Amino acid sequence: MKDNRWVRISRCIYARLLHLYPKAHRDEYGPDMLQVFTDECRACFQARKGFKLLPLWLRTLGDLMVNVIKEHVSNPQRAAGLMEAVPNAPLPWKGVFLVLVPGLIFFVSQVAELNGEDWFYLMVYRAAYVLIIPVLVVWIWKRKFPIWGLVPLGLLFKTLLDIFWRRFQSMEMEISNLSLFRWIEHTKLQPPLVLNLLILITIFLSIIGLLWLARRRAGISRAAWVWLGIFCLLVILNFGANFKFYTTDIQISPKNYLNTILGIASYNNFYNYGGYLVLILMGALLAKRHGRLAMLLPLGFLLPTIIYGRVSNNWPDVGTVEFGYMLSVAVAVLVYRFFVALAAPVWIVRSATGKMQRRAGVISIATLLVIQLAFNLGMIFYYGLMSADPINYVETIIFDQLIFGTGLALAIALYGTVPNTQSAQQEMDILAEETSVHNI
Amino acid sequence: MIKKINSYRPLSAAVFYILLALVDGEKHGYAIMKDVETQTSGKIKMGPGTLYGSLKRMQAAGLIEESGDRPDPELDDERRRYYRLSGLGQNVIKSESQRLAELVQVARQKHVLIIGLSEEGEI
Repeated sequence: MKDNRWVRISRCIYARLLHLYPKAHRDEYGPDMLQVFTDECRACFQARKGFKLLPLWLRTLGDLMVNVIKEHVSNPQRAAGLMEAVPNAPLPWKGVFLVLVPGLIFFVSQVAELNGEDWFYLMVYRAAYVLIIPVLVVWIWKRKFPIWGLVPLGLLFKTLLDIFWRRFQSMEMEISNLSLFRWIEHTKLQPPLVLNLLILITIFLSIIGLLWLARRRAGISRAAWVWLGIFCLLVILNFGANFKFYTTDIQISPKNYLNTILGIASYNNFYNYGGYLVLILMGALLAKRHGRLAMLLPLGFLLPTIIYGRVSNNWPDVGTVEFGYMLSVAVAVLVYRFFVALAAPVWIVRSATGKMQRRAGVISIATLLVIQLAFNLGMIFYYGLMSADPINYVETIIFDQLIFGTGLALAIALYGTVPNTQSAQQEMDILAEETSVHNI
Repeated sequence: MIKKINSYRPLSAAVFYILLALVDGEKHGYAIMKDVETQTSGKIKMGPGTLYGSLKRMQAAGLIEESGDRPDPELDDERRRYYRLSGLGQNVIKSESQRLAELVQVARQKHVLIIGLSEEGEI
C-alpha cells in the first residue's frame, strides 16, 4: 500500500524520535511503536479532511515526552547504579562520558601546559580532590561504587601518595591552592628514620592483607601470581640498581648509611611501587563488582604520573634544532596523554566481553610502554650526554616503565579471576523484575 | 496467589484498559489501542509510548504473554506481535473488576452514583 506523502514524512520523523528512548527499549519495541504510529497516521489521514495529522502529532509528542523520561528512569541499567556496565555489553555512551571526565580535564590542561601556562600543576591536585566528591556521594547513597569513580579514585590515591611523601620530607608545598584541602598539604610531619620504617611496614602489611582478602574472596589465578612475582623481582632489581648508584657514586658517611638506604628503599622503590601495588590489589576488591573494568583504577593512578609535559615557557624560533626537539616532545606528550586519558579508557569500557576487555587492556599497555620508552629515550639522547651517568638513567627509566607495565598486566590477570558476570546478571534480573512490578 | 494478585492492585488506568481489551482474545498493539479508544468512547487515546511501555511492564510482571508473530491479512501481511492474558492476568483483572464493582456499590449506597446515569453524565 502506497502511503500519502505526509504519512511517510510523519513516519520518518517518528522513527528518528524513537532514538530518544533507551536502546534496549528501542530495540525491543521500536518497530512495533513505529508500526502503530503509522497505522494511526493512516487512519487519521483517511478519517479527517481538515487538520489531518496535526492533533495526532500533538498527542504523540506529549506521549513521547512523558514516556521517554519514564523509560530512562525505570531502566534497570540506571537502577543498577548510574550508568553501570551490564555483563556482555559495552558501557553505554552516557557512562563512557562520565568515565572520561577526569581524562578530558587532564588532556585540556596538558595542552595548556605545553603552551607554557601554569595552571596544569594546580589542576592535577584540584581535580583529584574535587572529582572524588560526587563519587563518594554516590557510593554512600547507592552503596555501590560507581564505575566512573574508578579513575578519580586512582588519581586521588596517587595524589595523596605524593603529598604525604612530600610532607614526610618536609618539602614546601602550596599545591592545590584550595583552602578546603589545605590541612592535608600543611600537616606537620617530620621524617625520622622510624617514620620511614613505619611507612615501609604499613605498605608491606597492606599488601599482605589485601592479597589475603583477594585470595579469600575470589582466588588468585596462576597468571596473577606470576605477574606479581615479576613485579616484585623488578622492584628488587631496581632497588639494587639505585643502591649501587648511591653507594658507588655518592660518598655516604657511615653514620647516615642506614638512613640513606632506607631513603632509597622507601621512596624510589618500596614507597612508590608498593603504593602502586596496594592500589592494584584494592582494585581486586572492586573487581567483584566491575570485573576487568577495574583496570580503570590503575589508569587513574597513571594519569598524572609519568609525563608532566612542561617543555618551556618560551618556544624557540621555528626552524631551529631546539624547536624541532620541543615540538617532538610536545607531540609525544600529547599522544601519550591522549592514549592514557581518553583512548584506552573508552576502548576498555566499550569492549563487551571479558576477553575483549583483556585484549583492549593488553594492547593499551603495550602502546603506553612503547610511547613512554620512546619519549624517555629521546630525552636521554638530548640530555643524557650532560648527565654524569646516562646508563643509570636508562636503567631507571626502563625499570620504571617495566614496573608500571607489569603492574597493569597483574591488574588484568587479577581482575579476570573474579567471576562477576553471573552475579551481576542475577542482580540485573532482580532489578528488572522489581522495576516492572513497582511501575505497574 | 491471592497475595501476588493483591500486590498489583490498584492497577493504573492504562494497565486496566489493556487487560480489559485482551479479555476478548489475543490482539496486536494497534488493535489494543483501538479497543481502549472504543471502551472509553474515544476519551482515552493511548500513544505508542504509553501502550508499549505498559505492555513491557505487564509482560515482565507476568500479566500478559506474547502469543507469537503471525501475519495479519487485513494489514498488508505485516507481521505483528500479538499479546494475550496470562492466567495471572485473568485473575488480576477479575479481582480488580470485583474491587471496582464493590466501590461502585458503596458509591450507589451513598447516593454518590445515581442509577441511570447516561454516558454524558446527565440524568
